[in-house]
Formats: sequence, C-alpha cells, structure tokens
Amino acid sequence: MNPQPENFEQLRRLLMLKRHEQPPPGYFDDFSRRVLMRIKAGETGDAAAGIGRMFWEAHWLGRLWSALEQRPALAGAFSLSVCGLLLAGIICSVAPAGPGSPDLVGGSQSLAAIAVPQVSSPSAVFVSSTNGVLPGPLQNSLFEQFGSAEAQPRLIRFSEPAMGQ
Amino acid sequence: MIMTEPASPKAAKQPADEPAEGPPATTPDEMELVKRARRGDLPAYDDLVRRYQERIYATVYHMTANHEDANDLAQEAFIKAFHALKSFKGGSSFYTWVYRIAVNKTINFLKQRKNKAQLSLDDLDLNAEHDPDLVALISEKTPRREVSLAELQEKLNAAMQKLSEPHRLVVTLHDVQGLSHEEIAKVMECNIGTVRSRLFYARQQLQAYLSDYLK
Repeated sequence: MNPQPENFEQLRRLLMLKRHEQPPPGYFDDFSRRVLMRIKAGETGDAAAGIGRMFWEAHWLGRLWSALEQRPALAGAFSLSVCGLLLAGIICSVAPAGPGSPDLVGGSQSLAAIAVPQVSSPSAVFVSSTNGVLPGPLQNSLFEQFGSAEAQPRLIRFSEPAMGQ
Repeated sequence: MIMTEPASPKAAKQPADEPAEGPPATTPDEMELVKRARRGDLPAYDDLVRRYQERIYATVYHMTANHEDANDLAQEAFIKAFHALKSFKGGSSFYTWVYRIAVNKTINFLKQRKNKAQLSLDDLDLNAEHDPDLVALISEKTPRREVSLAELQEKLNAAMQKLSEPHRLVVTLHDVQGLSHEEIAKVMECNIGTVRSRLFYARQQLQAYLSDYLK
C-alpha cells in the first residue's frame, strides 16, 4: 500500500495511458454515417432491450443449469419430465387425427397396418413387412379366369375322314 | 483489504485536481444545430454526432472494456438522443445531455452483463510509446523497471474492472476524459460532494491494486 494514499499524481499519470487506447484506424470516419443509417431505418436506440432480453434468457438458463448441478433429485425429476414430454410428443405425432382411425395405444391394430394405406377391396389383404409391393385387387389377377366356369375343361371329339371317297 | 468510502475525503480539497481540458461549452452554433436536428434535419445531427462521437465512444469503451459493446452502445446513445431531442429543453449543454444518455445506457448494459467476463481491449496507439509521462513512469518511477507498456495497460485495465460501475465511471470521466467535478455531477445526476467522494475512493482502490507499479 502506498504510504501516502492521497497523493494520486502517479496514478493520474498512469491513467493517462488509457487515453491511448484507440479504436481501429478510420473507425470514426464512418461512425456518424452508421448512426444516421440506423435512424433512417427506424431504429429507436433501444436495441439494447433485445440484447438485455437475450442476456436475461441466458441468465435464466444459467440459473437453471446451476440448480440442476447442485440438486441431483431435481436433475432426475427434470430429466424424467423431459423424457415424458419427448414420449408424449412422439405419440402425438404418430397418432392420426381422424376419429375413425385405428387406436395405436389400444393395441387393436399393428403399426404396419396403420402405415400402409387401406385397400378398397372387400377381400382381406395381408401385409407383411417383407412384402415390398402392394397387392392389387384380386379380380384383376391374371389367374382369375381359372376360377370361373368358362375356364372348365371340355371334351373335344375329332372325326377321322373316310378313305377312298 | 476492505476500504470504505469516506464521507468527506481530503482529496476534495486538492487544488490541482481539476483537469486542464473540459467538455466544450454549448455555442449558439450548436444550439442552432440542435434546433435543426429537432426538425428532422439529419445533416445537422450528423454534425452534432461528429463533434462528440470520440468522447462518447471513449467513455463507453473505458466502462465496458470492449470495442464491439462500445460501438453498439455509443451508436444507440446517439440514436436515442435523436429521437429524444424534443424533450431536450436546453437546461444543460447538449454534450452533457448526450453523455447522460450514453452513461445510463452503459450502466444498464453492465448490470445485465454482470457475470459475463470479457476483456478485449484495443491496442495502444503508437503515441503511447512516446508519451513523456508514460516513458518516465515506466523507466524511472516504476519499481518493476522491466515492466512493459502492454503489461502496465493490462494491469491498469484489470484494476479498473475491479471497481464498481459508479466508481469506474467517475475515474473515467475525470482522470481519463478530463471532465470537471461539476460536469460529472450533471452527467451522473448527483451532487459534487458525491463525485469527489467517489473519485477519492476509486483512486484509493486503484492505488492499492496497482501498488506494485506505483512507487
């Protein structure tokens, strides 16, 4: 400690050093133009409010983080609630909006059946995860004719022509 | 070491305490510029900004110790002043009035930045190496003669950042910027006794922090 605390002459001379701290060269050449541009752009000079809000948010997050670090029980509860929210979000995003749609939570229909569009045919269609191509309606099948009456086998007789006529 | 702010500092009676250079007085020309700017004359306001931009920037810079922050705050202070010109009655000089806006914005900003440690000070200009006062201080007066100018600057700025905002502001305005006690009292909206008290206390603290560098 200085034995003569009220003699601040050296300190004042040392503080003169700060007068030599200058912004980059040419900084002030453009300063007023930038101010006028911001005035013309309609700024009111309260942009610090936005910065302040950002810092406030950062401060809020910082306080939450420090609280979580200090209290393991709170951290556990927080992580559980985050997981619950995540799970609820996934379920809500998967569940269809229509009232007649299948209820996944109830387990009445498989996920694959929900994911595949319903076929208009009344006949049952089985879809498996290994079936890459959707089956079309059965009446359009190439083999359908074998199931109809026209496709029944018929007896055909061939007559032998007479000799010497 | 705990130091308390004295109620009536002896430093207030020091005769050579007042700085040689003070703020410029308000001239009729300046009042005319203010009137024109109040009517939306941007070239007139441009003239006013150019007159005080360096002083406003320097004050904000010495308070924030950061060029980007000082740039934003100084610009915003001038923008806010432009929009508030209608409320400027001329009771004080335009210079003092703008100063007050800049100082209030800076203090609010620093309160929000409280826990954000940052120090990105500008480099010293070339004139610093040739400043006779500083050369003498380093080569003769400083016990640590090997100390460099950059190290001295670093220590000085670190000590400044340890001061509270009102104390740092008083030191900046008086010992760095050269404002008189009366002008500082107007800017800070307090009485002269408070300014002197704060200045004395701030210098005492700085002297303690920098005792290794001051004989």
